[in-house]
Amino acid sequence: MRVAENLNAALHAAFESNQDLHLLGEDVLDPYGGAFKITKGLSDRFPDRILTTPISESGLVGVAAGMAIVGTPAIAEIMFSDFAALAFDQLVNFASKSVTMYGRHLALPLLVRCPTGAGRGYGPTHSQSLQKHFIGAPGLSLYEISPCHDNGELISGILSRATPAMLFEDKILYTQQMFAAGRADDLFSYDFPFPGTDIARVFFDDPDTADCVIIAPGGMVYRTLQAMHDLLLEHEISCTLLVPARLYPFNAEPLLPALRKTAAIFVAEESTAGGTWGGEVAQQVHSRIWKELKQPVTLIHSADSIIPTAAHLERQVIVRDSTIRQAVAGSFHG
Amino acid sequence: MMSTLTTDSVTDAGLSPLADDDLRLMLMIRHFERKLLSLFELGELNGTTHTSLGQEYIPVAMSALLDMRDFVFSNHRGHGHYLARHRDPCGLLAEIMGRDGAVCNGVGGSQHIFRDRYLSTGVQGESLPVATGVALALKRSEPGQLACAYIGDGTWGEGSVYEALNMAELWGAPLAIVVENNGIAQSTPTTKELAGTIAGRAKAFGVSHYRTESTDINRIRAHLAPLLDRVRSRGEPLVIEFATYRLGPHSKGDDSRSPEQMRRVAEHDWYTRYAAEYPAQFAAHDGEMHALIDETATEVAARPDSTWDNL
Amino acid sequence: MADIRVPKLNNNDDEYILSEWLVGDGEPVKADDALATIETSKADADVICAEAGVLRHAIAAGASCAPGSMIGQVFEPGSPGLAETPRVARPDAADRGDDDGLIITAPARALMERSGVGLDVVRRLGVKVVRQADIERLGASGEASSTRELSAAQRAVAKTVIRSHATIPSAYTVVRVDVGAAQVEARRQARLLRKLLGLPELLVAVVSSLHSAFPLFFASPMDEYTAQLSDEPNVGVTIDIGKGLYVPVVKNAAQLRLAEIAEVLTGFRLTAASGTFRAAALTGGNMTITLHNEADIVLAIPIIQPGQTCALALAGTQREADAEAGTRAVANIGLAYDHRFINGRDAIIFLQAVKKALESPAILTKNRMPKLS
Repeated sequence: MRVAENLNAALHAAFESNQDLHLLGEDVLDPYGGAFKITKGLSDRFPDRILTTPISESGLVGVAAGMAIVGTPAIAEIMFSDFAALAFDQLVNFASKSVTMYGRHLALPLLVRCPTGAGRGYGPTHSQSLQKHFIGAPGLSLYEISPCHDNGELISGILSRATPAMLFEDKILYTQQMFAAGRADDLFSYDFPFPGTDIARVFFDDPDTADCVIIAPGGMVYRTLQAMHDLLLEHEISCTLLVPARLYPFNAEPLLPALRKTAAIFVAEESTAGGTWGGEVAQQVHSRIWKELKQPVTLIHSADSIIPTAAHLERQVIVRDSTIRQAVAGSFHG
Repeated sequence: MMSTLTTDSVTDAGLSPLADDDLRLMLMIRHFERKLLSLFELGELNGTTHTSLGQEYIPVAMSALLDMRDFVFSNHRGHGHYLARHRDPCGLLAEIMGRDGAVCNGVGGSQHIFRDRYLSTGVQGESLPVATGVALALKRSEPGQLACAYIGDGTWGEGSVYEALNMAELWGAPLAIVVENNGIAQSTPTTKELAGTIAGRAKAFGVSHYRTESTDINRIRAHLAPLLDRVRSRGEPLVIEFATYRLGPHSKGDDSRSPEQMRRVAEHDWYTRYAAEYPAQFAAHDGEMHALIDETATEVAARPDSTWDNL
Repeated sequence: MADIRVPKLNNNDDEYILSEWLVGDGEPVKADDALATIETSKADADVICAEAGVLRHAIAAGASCAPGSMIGQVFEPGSPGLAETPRVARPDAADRGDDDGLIITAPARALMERSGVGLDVVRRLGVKVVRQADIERLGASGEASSTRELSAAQRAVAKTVIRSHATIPSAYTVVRVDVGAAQVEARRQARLLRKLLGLPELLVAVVSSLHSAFPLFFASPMDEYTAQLSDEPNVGVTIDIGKGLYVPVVKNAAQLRLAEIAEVLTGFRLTAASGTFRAAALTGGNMTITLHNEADIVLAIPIIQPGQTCALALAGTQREADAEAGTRAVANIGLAYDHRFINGRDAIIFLQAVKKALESPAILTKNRMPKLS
């Protein structure tokens, strides 16, 4: 099934199992069902718990945080993750901090969902991947959907942890298929080999003998998979892909045994250059196993640029499967 | 839902007599705030503080109209709000001084307090959308309860105030917004940073508005009681605007007003007026509350530092 | 939106290999840009862009492609076909000639081609993805198949030879040439000109000088009874250093000085070592010299290239007893000729002319000395 369907089903299941859960967002009512149709069917089934809001990203996140702080779990939908900037104060200064700034732990079951990423030609202010700007806010967890992770489990896990979280949802990924039955494609399989974590592994044959490891969030999986396919068949470079559902806080510790064995480590993300999630991951890896690495972790990401609207220009900025393939091949050959 | 504007004249002919409990509460807040300023001057306090001298009667008036299942949101100038709600000068002073027994273990300090259904935030305007969400949750699970949010005149510069008013009115949130309009925001007089009026703003969203210049608690309560009942029963927002006077500086030592302005402020101070109009009752309680605060301060200062298990 | 199709580059091959994309997937292109390099059995050629736009690859580098097939498309910038996240289409199983489940990496394919390993052996490996190391192991362990498939280059040679034998009724005559003087002269010229120079270079010079006297030997049969004469001698010379047999052509050889002939042949040898020949270098010959001048090789019967009427073979230099000098250096030069156009007598006269010129090389080289400035 497509990722969007899986996500929609996850929301329906969450509303069925929790009678207090609310959702706020712009244009979320049926029959429209949200700008990306992720909330389709919800307001028909649960009319008093789905609120369509004015165009007030800051306000709606604050309202959701208020509900959460008195024990009413709330999901806030921000139509494009670019607009999360408007809600920065409510997210970073109120909701995240409230978990601990009152001297004791406060439950705050708030989930802010953001469609994110480029590839549809929506232009500089509707195409960004802003995960990196929310890294390092104490109390705020960042997640990203992927074809490996069932969204039902993901969302119920986030809500049960009852701390503020953002869920980034790559818009192109919405239209792509969930992985199923352990198979990613004709060559690659996937599994969850790190107990106690949510990290998925996509691999060919024996993952411990892979030439390199690529760490990437869910929105990058299909592009990375394409690159891995080409790298294997054109260059005989085998890669293992690791996909965390939770981007931050990120704990590299469980991955170290796998990372130690490999010749090269890459982090691939759609974010533009500078202050990236990959930098955070690389720092964690370096600080633990620097002496065992043959080279520093290589960061693969989009260019240091705003994201142009015209498709041929957007493709020059945004990281693609060829970007990943060239970075990996270049690392081995060059 | 709209309501007619009401304004009390400033010179209500004489203040009505206060219940002892109300007077003691107001005096406790007054002496607490004074004590803070003197502790700062003596270098015994860390960080900053925002005293509510001159405005103490507002939360005391409101306290009789709220119950402990209502939610109260406060701001940076919130000591009076907290003390009127929880009557806990020890816990509050310990919080400000970072001592054992602090209401939030010294982590939140003066501006960030959470206890039961009382919460204060440090960023202007931030509390209103949150209060709207709380009000909606209360309407659903505990109908009849309301959320009361204290803000100032300067807060009306923040966009989130308008987002909250819009949504509160659209969705019928039982939200009482108490505006302590003391004519100055930090160092800037309201005339320089508020175009139009607060009444006009409430009206623009179709939200009921009530304004008073009175400092008479009994009269205030009499006027507000039916308005707050409507908030509870109908589930709708209300803006209550108190024209009041900030006796002290914005935080400490930063008062930009002229002596003439300060004289006018002092004229409206309930403290001197009650002392003049009810001297016996005043004297019976003033000294006692002063001493209570002094002892509290001495005792709290002697406590060990607060601990926080997050680190 | 325009399709990019593989041009027909030669008559020999049914399929070529797209060896390299010169412009990346999704990059802008202008008219006349070179888009990709196609490798045939004989040479490389570039595919040229007709109209400006944005290029999309339809097949990957290393994939095979038939003449006329579509390898990519050029889109108008901003057109809907560009809107999706670009994905390089993998060469599908049909292109690779695979069964279901058998996937072969590009390096493995290349090694299979070079060493003639066939698909049947590879299938028996039972590996999901066949890599170069798997092919190498086949060779190392001596588990080579009992069959051997020809590489693409060799298939082309086979086709040429079959066609030659089928269409050219050939005969063969040999002359023995005293090459002593030629060797001495070649060494002298090599020192003088500071170039690599030996019997092959002299033979090219000699043969080309016979073009006007022996036109039928440089002619091209049009049908069984008619031959098209040529304006100047374009002499092909076989080069095979172990990476495949090539016959590059020394164009207009009669006009070249000895030094230039030497440069051209040296260039051919370098090209054979480092890369493949461009198509232009391998076409247009009207006479071929095949070199078999290794020690103890006394005779070789060359294949006449289809479209030519004869071919010369230079065998190895031998020493034989000589009444006067004690020993002398000799080499056999053979001529295979199309007996429809050349009879034995013609062949003998031609070979005698070659012999005579080679046995008095000073005259030959004197006529070709560089002009003193």
